[in-house]
Amino acid sequence: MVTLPQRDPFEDSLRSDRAARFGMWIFVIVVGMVFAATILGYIVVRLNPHMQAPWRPSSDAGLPYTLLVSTVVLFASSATLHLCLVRARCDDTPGCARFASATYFLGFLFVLLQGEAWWSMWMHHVNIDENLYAWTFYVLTALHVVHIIGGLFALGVVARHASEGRYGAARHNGIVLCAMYWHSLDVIWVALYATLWIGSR
Amino acid sequence: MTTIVTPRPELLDTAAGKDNYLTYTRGFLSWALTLDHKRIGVMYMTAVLASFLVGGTFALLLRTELLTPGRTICSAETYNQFFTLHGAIMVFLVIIPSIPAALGNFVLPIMLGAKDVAFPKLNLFSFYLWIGGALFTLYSLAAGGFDTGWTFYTPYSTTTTTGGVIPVLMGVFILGFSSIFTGLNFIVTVHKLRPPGMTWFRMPLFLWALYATAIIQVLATPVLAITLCLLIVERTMNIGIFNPSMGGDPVLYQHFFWFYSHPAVYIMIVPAMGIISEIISVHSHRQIFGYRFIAFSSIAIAMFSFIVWGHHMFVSGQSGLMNTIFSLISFSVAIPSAVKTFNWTMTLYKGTISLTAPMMYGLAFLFLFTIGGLTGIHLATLNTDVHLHDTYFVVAHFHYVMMGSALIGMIGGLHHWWPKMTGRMYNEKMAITACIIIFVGFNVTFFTQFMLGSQGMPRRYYDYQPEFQVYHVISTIGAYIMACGFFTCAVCFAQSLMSGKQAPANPWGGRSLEWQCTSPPPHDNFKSPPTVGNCYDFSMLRWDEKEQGYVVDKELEALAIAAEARGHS
Repeated sequence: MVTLPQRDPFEDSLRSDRAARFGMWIFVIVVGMVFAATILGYIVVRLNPHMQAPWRPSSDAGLPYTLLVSTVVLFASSATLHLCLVRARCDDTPGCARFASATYFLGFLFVLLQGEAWWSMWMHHVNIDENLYAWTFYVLTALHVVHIIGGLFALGVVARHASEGRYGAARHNGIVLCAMYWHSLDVIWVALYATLWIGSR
Repeated sequence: MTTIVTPRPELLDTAAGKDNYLTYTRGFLSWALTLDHKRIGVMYMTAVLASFLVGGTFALLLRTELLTPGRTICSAETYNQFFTLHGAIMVFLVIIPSIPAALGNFVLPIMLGAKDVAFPKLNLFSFYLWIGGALFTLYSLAAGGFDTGWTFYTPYSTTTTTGGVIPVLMGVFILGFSSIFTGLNFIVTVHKLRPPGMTWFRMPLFLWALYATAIIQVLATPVLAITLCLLIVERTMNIGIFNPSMGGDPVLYQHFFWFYSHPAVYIMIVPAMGIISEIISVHSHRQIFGYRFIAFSSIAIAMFSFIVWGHHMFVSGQSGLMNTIFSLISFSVAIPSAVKTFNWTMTLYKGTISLTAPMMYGLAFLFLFTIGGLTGIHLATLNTDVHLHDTYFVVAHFHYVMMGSALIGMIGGLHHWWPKMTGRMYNEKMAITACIIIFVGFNVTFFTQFMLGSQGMPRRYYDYQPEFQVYHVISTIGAYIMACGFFTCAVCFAQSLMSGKQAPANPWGGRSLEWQCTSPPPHDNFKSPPTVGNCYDFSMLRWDEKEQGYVVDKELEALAIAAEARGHS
């Protein structure tokens, strides 16, 4: 096992934590730019005046209701992650670990629910290669799920560290960074879902 | 496409004694897993120069093919691959990472007075992302190459039968992440690691330029990433938002692509401008003229870069109103660019100019950037652009900016910081000769192309009318002259590494912090916290015969401090 040498350019962990949070803000902006461009692209093709066929095939039943459930689950996961941070700040190590695991579980559930939404679209014969309505639905939701799965890796680390009792009132920057990313995916999901919903009208 | 440089045994006895970043630890792994920004910078530089050799070889091949109308050395299909590879390698593997990732990594923390960048592990990760991107690009050659042009315009890129399109798109996608993480690292470093005394307006202008570049990197590159992703999905499934047969819009691809790729031009040129600000003031031993104007013009260029992309699409069917707006905004980029150029010229005026190799590159930059910038005005003007669009005039214009300015700036910077990076001096005469050969070769190659383009020779064509041949022959000869120049430059550096004179801490008389530490710098950059002063006040430096470099004269320093105190009161 090769380990990287240690190299911390900061004088103390407080400054280092602050810098990490600042870095995470920039990363959130980067992710935001990705989705802003995608949503803009969607709007452009959705409003394309040269479109021959109707945007949504008449046989389609609309966006699956599972998406509403998954939205609630995603919000719940953000709430539990926030509670996890609150517990860590109160030095409640077991509480922190419990909420971290709950967040991980809810995040995982969100991915499963998105899969279910795909399945129900598929069952209604909405095939990805037939029209842009289907293509944009699958591609945009997949893009978001990929970011959620990335977040689950981070949440996994946070949950493990929490169960090992590494977080406390003095040290919980890992949860803060993870929460910044996770909450921003909430906001992005709402924007994405709203776009897809209005677009499907 | 990289080689890992191991410390050379003969560097062990350099001025810094046993503790410098090259000799701190030894062996392959100590480099491959290093978190030291200086070593990462050197590895980037090696990798970028290796890619430059590959991209340059493709340039020579395609120039050779263009010696005669019709077939000279290869088929039209192969020629299409040559120019595509040349463009993609030079843009994504060479020029974009050359200054921020290679020189910036080495110089930024030392100039700032920091021990390292804010996130050293992320920095190493960026480097390996670069390697991954480069490997994908190489793999695309084995997978059948690609002939889309470096812009990957749809619908051609989604329909061409060359097999290397998806691998190269993946490669550029990964390279984009490398660039984003470097930018993120630099922004946080500049914000959070400035030592006491290093205020924003005491920062050397190279740092302002890198900061402006980093802003563009983190805001624009994600758009390229998602665009390439959508392109990959579209090519795989034959459907997507860029496909008009399903209601998609191929011009949307152009908007997305140029929303990144126009700012990318500034990712290339703004850091080069930063280098030139350093070179011009240090080598003319004169306080930089208009510090704040140069600093803010970097930020202004970064801001403008996001609202001018439409000038690449004047003939794409965009509305007349859009064209007019983009044309007007494009003209305004001339303002911050001219602010810089005039300030550099004013710095030179009455300066004590040392005609060293970095200064020669600096002067070459001034000439070439002026030509490159002013010809941009022809292209931003709507009616002349319709005539010049997609001709060699455009090729000449962007080579004057990307190569004549960005790359020449990088090579100048490499000469400027070479003694710091390696602890060795190079043969000044040979370096200057190389610079002159490159300058002559460059103008012979590309000035000719302005004429070709204005007479109507379209870019990317394999065959041409016989009346264009004389220009093509001259241009190809120029390319070979330039190759000789770069070869001389490489020999000069190789000779320096093998038998170069030991470099002093401050060979040029610079005042920014990197000249305060030994050459090569120690592992942790500064043994004690550096004293931050006015990095463009050269009045307290004098040449020391024994050191063979510049040293701070205590008496002159006391005078300067007293003068500054009087100024404040």
